[in-house]
Amino acid sequence: MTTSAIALEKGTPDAGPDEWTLITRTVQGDRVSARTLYDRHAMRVHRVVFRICGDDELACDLTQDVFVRAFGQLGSFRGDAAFTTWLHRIAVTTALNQMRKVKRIREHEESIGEEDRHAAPSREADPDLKVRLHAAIDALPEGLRMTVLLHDVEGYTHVEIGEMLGIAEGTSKARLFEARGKLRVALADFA
Amino acid sequence: MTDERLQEMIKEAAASYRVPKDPPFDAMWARIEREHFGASPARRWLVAAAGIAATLLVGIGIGRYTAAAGPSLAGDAGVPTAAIERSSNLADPLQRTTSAYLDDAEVLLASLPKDSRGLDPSFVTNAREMLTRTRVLLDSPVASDPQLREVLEDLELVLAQAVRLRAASRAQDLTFIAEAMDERDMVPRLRTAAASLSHSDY
Repeated sequence: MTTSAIALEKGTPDAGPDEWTLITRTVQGDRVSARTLYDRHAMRVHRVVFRICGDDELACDLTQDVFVRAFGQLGSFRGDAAFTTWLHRIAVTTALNQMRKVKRIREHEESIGEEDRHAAPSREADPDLKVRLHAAIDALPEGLRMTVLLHDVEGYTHVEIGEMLGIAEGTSKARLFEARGKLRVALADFA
Repeated sequence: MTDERLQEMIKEAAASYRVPKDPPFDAMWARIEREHFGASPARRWLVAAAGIAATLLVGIGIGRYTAAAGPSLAGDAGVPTAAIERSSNLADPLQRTTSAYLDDAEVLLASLPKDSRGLDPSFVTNAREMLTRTRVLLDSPVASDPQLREVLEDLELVLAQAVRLRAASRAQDLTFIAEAMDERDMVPRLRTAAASLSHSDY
């Protein structure tokens, strides 16, 4: 783990040039600035894409794809949203697109037992609350799962989630409400 | 179950939801850098090797021709002794090319205009050519010397910024390059590297 990544993880400010300077220099081809941006954001991007895809190797590939795409599009970044939000929108889009591809392949390969695989496990099978909750989050439809993941797990606001997912702030709130309703049902026997 | 209780449970579970292992960030950066900033060093070497090989062959050819045709340099009253010593020290053609390249780089960087109105298009052309030569040298045995490699890598960064300059570039662009040069102490280090190269084998 890099020093910058550790600083970010701990929520402490990272010393060095401000973000806009780094962005400008990266657009101009400065590798050092690009690397600094990467160091500052890679850990969180990786964590988000891992939480979407749940696979270590795929998360590494996706994180690399995210930064290649982000650096390629950096010239068009105007600062309308925070850089983190902009970057994470690319991360979420890249990861979701990949997961849709994976899902299509799985659906093609597995036509039997799909319903059973996605059903919430019984309390007897998974007595631990965390395991049950994780499984219940995994079983949510994609739109609801992403909202729970970004709001309740990653701590983004509804405005930020709206920008990342390309939906209205109100839609994000409605999705969270619906997701929590489903989670409540799934965890009813723990109440 | 109340909303508060559910939120509390989600909060507790969130910290352990799909927590990734520490990924190999440095190895991941290598692919990002390669894909965004250009071809791999090996490919760059293949593309540019022909150019530097041709330069070396021409240089060696000229050297042999003049050595065979003309009188001994040591016998020329007009040639300073230091120049003769430097010439004999730099027996390796690649070392000679590197030394000349470092001199050229120093001259080029010293000619960086103060504002974009004074930007001569030939500056960018020369910077582009210099960038190619820098990358070739980075992939050559010369770069096995850690100090020289560091100079070359810093120079590559500065030149990569310089080749993007246009007549319409903002003053800020030139300021960034000038700052990058100052931060890396570029010109004095080029001078030192050229001097040390001419007095030692790498």
